[in-house]
Formats: sequence, C-alpha cells, structure tokens
Amino acid sequence: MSGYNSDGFMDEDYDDDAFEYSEEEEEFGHNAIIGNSAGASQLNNESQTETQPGVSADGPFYENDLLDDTGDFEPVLGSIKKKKAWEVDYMIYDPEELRAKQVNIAARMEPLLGISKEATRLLLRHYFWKEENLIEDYLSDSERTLAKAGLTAYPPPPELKSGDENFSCAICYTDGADESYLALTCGHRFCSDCYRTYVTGKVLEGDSWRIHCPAPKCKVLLGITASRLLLAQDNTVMERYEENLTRSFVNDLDTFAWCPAPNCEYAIECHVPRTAWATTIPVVECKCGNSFCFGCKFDNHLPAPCYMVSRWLQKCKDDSETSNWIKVNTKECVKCKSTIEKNGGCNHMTCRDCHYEFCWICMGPWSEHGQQFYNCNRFNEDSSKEARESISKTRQSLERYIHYFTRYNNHEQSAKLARKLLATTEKNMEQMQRELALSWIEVQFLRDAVDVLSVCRSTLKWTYVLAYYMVADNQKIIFEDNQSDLEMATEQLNGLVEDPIGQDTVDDIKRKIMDKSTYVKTRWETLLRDITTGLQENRWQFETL
Amino acid sequence: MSGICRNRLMEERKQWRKDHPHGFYARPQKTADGGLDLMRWECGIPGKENTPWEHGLYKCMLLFTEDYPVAPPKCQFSPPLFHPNVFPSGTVCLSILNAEKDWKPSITIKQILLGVQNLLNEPNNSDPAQTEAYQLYRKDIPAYEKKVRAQAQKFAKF
Repeated sequence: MSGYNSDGFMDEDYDDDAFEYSEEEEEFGHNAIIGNSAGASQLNNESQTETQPGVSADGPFYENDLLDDTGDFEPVLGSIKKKKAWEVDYMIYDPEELRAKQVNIAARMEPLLGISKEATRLLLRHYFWKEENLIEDYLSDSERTLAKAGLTAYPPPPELKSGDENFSCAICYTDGADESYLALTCGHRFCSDCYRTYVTGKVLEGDSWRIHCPAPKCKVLLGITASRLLLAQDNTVMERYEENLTRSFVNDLDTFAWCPAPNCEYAIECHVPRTAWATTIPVVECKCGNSFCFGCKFDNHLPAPCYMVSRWLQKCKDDSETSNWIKVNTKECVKCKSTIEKNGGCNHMTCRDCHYEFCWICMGPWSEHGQQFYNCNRFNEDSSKEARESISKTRQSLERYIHYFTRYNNHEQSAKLARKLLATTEKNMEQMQRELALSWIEVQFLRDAVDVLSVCRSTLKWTYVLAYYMVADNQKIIFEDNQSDLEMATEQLNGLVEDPIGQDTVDDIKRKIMDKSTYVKTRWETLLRDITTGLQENRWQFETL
Repeated sequence: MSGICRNRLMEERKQWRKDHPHGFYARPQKTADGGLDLMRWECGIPGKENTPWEHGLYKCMLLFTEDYPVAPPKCQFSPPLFHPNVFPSGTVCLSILNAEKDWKPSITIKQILLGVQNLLNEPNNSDPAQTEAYQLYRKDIPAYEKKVRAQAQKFAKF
C-alpha cells in the first residue's frame, strides 16, 4: 500500500492486504508497537517516490498471480506501471489505515516532544497535524504551547471517582457520596451522567477531540482517553466518536481528501500543491472505482485544469439550452438589437420596438427591396452586408460557445450511452459464452473496449473546454489535429462495439475491436501527454479568466 | 439530558431565590392555570451604573428547550432593544449563548444574565445583529450614546 498511479486502463491493482498495523491500544500510556510493523512504517513514509513493485517483501504486489510469481518479469512490470506524464502520485487509505496513520504520526512525535502519548495526540490535532509548526512552538515555549491547547504534559489517567460527601454536580445539582464523578486537571467536577450526556451531545454534533471541560470558560481538553472512558457503554456513539476523530484528521489536512462518491469510506492523500493545479490536474482513482480531481473534487476532468472547469460549468449553467434556442430561432434587429422570432409571414420585417423595416433574409433595409416580396436577391449589396456585419459580436461569441458546447455535450451524452452500452455488452458477452462456446477470458475484449471508450469520451469532452478558452494560433491547430484524431478513432471503435456479433464473424470482429482499442489507447495517451507537457510549457494562450 | 432539564431549572430557581445580583429579577412565567412554566423565565437586567445604560431595567425572556442544559436557552429582549448585538426580533447574540461557541452546560442563569448585562455597554461590533445600532455605533458614538440614554429613560425602573 504505497504510492501508485491512476491508470484508466489497467485492471491490476496493488494488494492492500500487504499492509498491516497494530490496533490502537486503549490503554493510556502504553507504548505503541506500531514502528515494528513493516506495512505501517511504509504507510508512514510520506515520500512520494513510486515504489517498485515486487522489490521488497512487504512492498505492494499485483493481484495478477501470473506476473507476480515470475520474478524475472520485474523490469517489464516496471515499464507497464511507469508513471504517465499526466498522472500524479497519491495514496488511498481505508478507515483502518487512516487510524494507523494517525497513530504512526503520534508515535513518531512522542519521543521528540517528550510528553505523554495522550498530550502528543491532542497537540498534533490542535496544530492541524502541522508537525513543523508544532515542534517550533514547542521548542520555543513548551508550557505556553501546551496551555494554549488546554493540555498538560502528563495528565493523570482519567477515572470515575465517588464517595465524596461534599460533591455536587454543577450541571444537575445532584449531590452526595453515591454520585460518581469525573474531574480533569482543572479540578472541575461533574457527575458521570452529565458528563456522558454532554460528550454524547458533542459527538453527535460531529465533535471529537475538541471537547472541553463543561465548566464555564474552562479550556481544558477532555481528551481522547477520557472520552472513550465515558462512552464505553454506548457502542453507537463510541463508533461515531472514532469516526469523527478520523474525519477531523482528513479534514484538517490539505493533503488529504475524502472520496466524494456516495457511501465511499476511502480517503486519498495527494501532495500536488494548490499552486500547481493550473497546469497539473491531480486526478486520482479511488479503490471504489470513482475517478475524481483531488483539487476541486469534481469528476475526472483531464485534461482541462480546475479553474477552467469551474468557469465552464458556471457558463453552462448560465447559458445552455435557452441560448441554444435563441440562437437557432431568432435574429436581432439590426438597429436596436431586439431579439426577434419570426413565427410566420413574409420577409418584410418591421421591428416592434424601433419600427425599423428590414429583410429577414439579407438583413438589409427594406427600402432598397422595392416590391420583391418573398424573394430577396440582394444578399451581396453593400448596405445588406454592412447590416449583417453589424449584428452584434455577442451573437458571434455565442455561436462560438455553442460550437464547443455541442461537442462537449455530445461526448457527455455518448459517455452516458457508453455506460448503457456496457450493460448490453455484458449481456452480449454472456450470450457469446453460451452460443459461441467461448471462455470468460476470451470475451473480455468487449468490456475492455467499452472501458477505453468511456475514458476517451471523458477526455474528449474536456478537451473542448480547453479548446474553447484557447486562443487561436498555430499551436491550437496542432492541438485540434490531435483531438480530431482521437475523436475519429473513438467514433470508429464505438461503431465496431455496437456491431452485432455472429458465429461466423466473431473472430474477425474481435480482432478488429482489439486492434482499434489498442490504436485508440495510443491516440489517447499521445493526446494527454501532449496536453500535459503543453500546459506545463505554457505552449498555449488562454483567454484571461 | 432531557430528564434533568426540569430538575436543573428547579434548582436554578432555588439558587436564584437564595442569592441573586442586585437589581436583577428572574422568575418562571405563570401559566394560565396559575402554575409555573419552568421553560419560560421572565427576567430583568439593570443597566450598569456610570454607563449610558444606567437607570434602565431591560426586560427579557429566557426560553429553555428540553435539551437544556446541553443546549443553551434563548435570550430575547421584549420589546426588542437598540443594541448592535440584539437582533430585530430581540434575540441576543452572545458567545456564551451559542452551543457552537462558548456555551457550557454548567453556566447558570445568574451567569447568563450577568453576561448579558456586560454586553450592554460592551457591544461586540464584529458580530452585528441589527443595522441601526451597528451603523450608529460605528460612525457616531455620541449620537449612539444619546439614543441609548433615551432608551434607558424609556425603560427606567420606578
């Protein structure tokens, strides 16, 4: 379980079972054995270098047994998994691994700070896991650092006490020696029932470590151990508490993000800095299969950068269908720019707003038309030309937008159809297995082809956004050539996949589809590589956004 | 803590009757049938001496929910007050009355009322709740204080 890359086409995945860690022990002050676990220490290693598969015994390996068994294949494997220009390094964590990660960081910091494990954990959280800042502050003034966070270096293990005649709970006012109570280092005592309700309320609101002593203005942190002690009887709230702890860990770190897919529990760690998002698109693929942008959390939008995507989506929301309809069905009055829909009648138009009379066909003034109703042959007269040219620039820019939007939308719709196609394909595959007596592995080519199709559709879709904002020059022409090459090949593959497959044609079609898939994949890689380097080299000019 | 809401309020009442700050009052509202509604308290907060608020007695309601004391009560001036941190509805905006901020279940009614009294002459202009008082306080302190004095006159205790 270490840095690996997204790859739309590869089915192989690292085996995450290679990772192991010890359970976070509940006992306060007990020393962790985390450091001994090979898998955990690997996870702990934040370096972004790609781990060579199969190099170390506890490193990641492929699911594919064939390849994994043969050590001789190592160099080949390395080249297969080599990072593509547009790919970024990232790691995927499941909730357990996230917990281990937190334990690891705390275990590393503990000897450095020389304070209790509990205090280390809370201090780290207080500092949003920014270890450098924490160490710097701590070294310059350890007491102040701890006090500001509401902590003491060695808090005594929290315990529920009872037997004090003078005890009275400041929340519910019950008193007496029978009442069990809890007091933190600040000495404020509250009965265990009130404490429990208080903590439960906080936890259900989403809080975890940031819970303070219930006394007014008291900033002493309740702490993780005490919270667990109080919630021990209630499994649901306890689970929620642990969840909140992990949630705050991921939310507090810029380099971590949750996979936005519904019900997905995985988190992604990615170190591509925010400043690089204009030229690098940090696309990651979660273990759940969801491919998304780490930067804006939107769907995979390779190869258009985040800022362009948000701008584009906003534009689509604003314009879209309405402008489309206006464009197709109306013209503007040459004089006052009112939008006019011609819903019948002759070509002699009289603008209702400014009463300007003109010809619908050539847009020239009607006065020059004489009596030639229904038949305009004056298209090239100077005055008509002028009138047409004066038609507002906005319409031209709208036209340009529609051009790109239509293609963008086309691919989006086709991508949806591709998903439907996948369903039919699977049916086809079953049918082929039955009727043509093919084995499962032999019909996988169809599924692979559809996968290639949908990845290409997505990429093509976003290239139109890139093209829309790109200023026209020679470099753009090269870009568009690459784009059209991939587009053409994708459409051809789409056609092949939709073709019916029969007993006599199966071999032929299979060969064709496999060849075409390979070709499309090459085109896709070429396009992406070109765009990635282009963006980084500032090869293109973009409209100032 | 729904179970303890009423017990706690009874205890609050007991404590208040035993001892409360001078010039303040706080009592559960009477219901139609002559009983006490512990969830609604009528309170009076005097303006501090030597401030433009002096001589005034400002009436407010403390409205409790079943979640009390996990959740804070709502403090609402009636009639609404001219003050930067009082909403047009009369509700007070104060950190100790906000569950997400400084509310703690052990804060007593006495502490709440004293806190609100403090707020009267120490408005928090980074958290405005009404435009009128906020703008005036920001731009023209003398005019603001004049208005506060007039208000104190209006709500003067007898």
